Amino acid sequence: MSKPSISVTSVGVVTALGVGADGLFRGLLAGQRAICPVAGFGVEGCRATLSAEVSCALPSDCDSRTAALSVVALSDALKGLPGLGDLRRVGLVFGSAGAGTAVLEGHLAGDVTAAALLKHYTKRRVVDELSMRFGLAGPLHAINTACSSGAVAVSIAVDWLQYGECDVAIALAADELGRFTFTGFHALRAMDPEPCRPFDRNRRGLTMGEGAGCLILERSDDAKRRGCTNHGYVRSVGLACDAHHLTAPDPEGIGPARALTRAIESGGIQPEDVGFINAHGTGTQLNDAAEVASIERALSTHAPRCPIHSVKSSIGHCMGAAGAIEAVVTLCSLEQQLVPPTAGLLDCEFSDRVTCVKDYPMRVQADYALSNSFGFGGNDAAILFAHSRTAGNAHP
Amino acid sequence: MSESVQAASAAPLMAELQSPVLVSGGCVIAHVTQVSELNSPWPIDPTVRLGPERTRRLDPLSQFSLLAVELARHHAGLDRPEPGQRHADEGVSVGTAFGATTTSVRYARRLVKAGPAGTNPIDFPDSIDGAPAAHISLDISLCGPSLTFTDGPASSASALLFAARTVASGRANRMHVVIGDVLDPVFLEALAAGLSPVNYIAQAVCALVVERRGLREVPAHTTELFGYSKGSRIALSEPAPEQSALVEAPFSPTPICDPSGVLDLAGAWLGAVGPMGNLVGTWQHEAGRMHVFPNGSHGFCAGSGANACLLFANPHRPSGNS
Repeated sequence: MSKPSISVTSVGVVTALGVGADGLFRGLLAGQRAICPVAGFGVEGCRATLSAEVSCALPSDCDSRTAALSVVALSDALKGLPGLGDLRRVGLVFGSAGAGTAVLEGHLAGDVTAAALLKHYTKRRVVDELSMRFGLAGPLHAINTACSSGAVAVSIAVDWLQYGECDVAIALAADELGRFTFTGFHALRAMDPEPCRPFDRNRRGLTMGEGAGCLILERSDDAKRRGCTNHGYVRSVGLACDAHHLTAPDPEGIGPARALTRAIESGGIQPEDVGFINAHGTGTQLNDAAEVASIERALSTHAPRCPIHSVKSSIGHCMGAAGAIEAVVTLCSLEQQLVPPTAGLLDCEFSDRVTCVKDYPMRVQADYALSNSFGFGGNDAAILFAHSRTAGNAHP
Repeated sequence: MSESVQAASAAPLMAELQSPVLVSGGCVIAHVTQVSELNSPWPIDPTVRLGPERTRRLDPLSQFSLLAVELARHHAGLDRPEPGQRHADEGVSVGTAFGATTTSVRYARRLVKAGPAGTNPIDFPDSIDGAPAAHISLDISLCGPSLTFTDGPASSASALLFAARTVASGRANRMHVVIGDVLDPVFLEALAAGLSPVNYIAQAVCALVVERRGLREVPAHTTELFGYSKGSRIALSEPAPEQSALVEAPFSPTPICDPSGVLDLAGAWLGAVGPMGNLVGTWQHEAGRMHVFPNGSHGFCAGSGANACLLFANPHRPSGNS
């Protein structure tokens, strides 16, 4: 029995480039970089002091900054819909890597009570808050696969729809810039003191960011019946694990390649059908090299011709939210057939192996695109999106 | 609707259908203490059982998770894989309310006391919720899907459902499910703050081996993971006792094996787990206790919070016998 095709009927996003997918995409096409000195907390003693912080106004009645970012992204997504329908049939899967750590830090500093620690430490708290605020009464999940959480959230949302567990599935991921995580990456010496330069020969690490991304998914037939816009299809999602090291990627890129190949195969396309790739592209020496190796493994002879780009030199690495935010960017690219440049990329180390888009946007003719997300623990995820002009329902 | 009525109405369908998802082995390591003895040691020391090389520097939740998986695999008749042997068709699904609390507290404490310069780079990656899943994948070279649910008291059902669906959809042949919380004293003390010294607090780590039917000849104690239903009561008006909340929750029952065989599970309460007997439990931090299921031919289990309900069946059940 073939599975129903899944449409993205609306998206919402908040990053250091502001609220909304249109503004984000315009900024990326223009090569904007929203990277500034950290303002939200003290970074004395850190080698890197830059980040991409959200500066727009956030709701003041939320339990945490992560919840506030989530509310903004979800509210933004809801603007593009004729409503959510029966709220008992609306599910929410929430991904985050670092939510709750500020509460623990506050408790140990004597600023947060024991009761508040128990209440606000778990990521589930954000889900419950969103559920109550928006009246969502379908299935709920909070997940954490580190920096691939947003992409994995999309995978679970697709599952829900294909198994009939809900009629509207919200895949949302958010992470706030916090001292716990910032200093953690500092301790690992993974951060570039300057704005990060993914795929550049002189790259020295990542720049942290924050934000939230939200994709509203529906079975395509239902979406059409409801009069929703189809921004594209989630054709498939490939998940895999490196089983190599807790933090370092497998230099041969075997795990990410497996995720890419699974997405391509279960999406029923050939490697040469991939029109471009939104790369994970953190700007660390190890990640970028491993990612290029994985693209070569998965796309074979098509790899040198397939454009890739990273948004992290514009909006920073938004941790658990990155996968969802970059999924939104990938959909924008597919819709407009434009791949944004990788800001700050001057001298691509891999120019003979892949086509890194730099300096200017690249015009493409793409029916399919991949969005890569990798995380600590060797968590690898690749989402295959299809343009709304394609059939969309070729799930095996 | 009462539990017995639910079970009876589900039974005829259960007899006819066959789930592709089997639970072939399991293990529970539990530590139940009175509040007055919060920091008493667990009955098993994973560092002794697994050796220092496999447990060095790991958060206690990761250590107990490794041990629980090893024991569950043994129960399922699976040997420890040869070193270097990678398993692309096997994965891990973890459910935890609080995650790796000991490492998180250690990292945060150093940060609060000494600033960034005082933090330990080894602690940070081990502090993430997904660290136990990562260590399991590394320990036995699992290259399939790896996921961690932080769903509070519903984490157990979430992790098990993900594993079942991953197997049912063919994305993996075998999934290792780990459910648990091993709390740092900071969290234990916070939990105990509102309790009397004679109250009990339970911590547990449970592992299950979930695999595709037909993969091999499975042990006699194998259980079918038959179906599930999910819903949220969070957004529904007034707080209600668990059972009535379950009845009111908008469940959308969907058996894994056959969408046409929809089962009416709404209102199901804690039940049996077939011949798996005492192997499945849910750690319920809200209630501060652990439920262990009695023997039976089939039954239900649900996480406190009532966001999910699982239906198990005995694959050796006689046809039509409820």
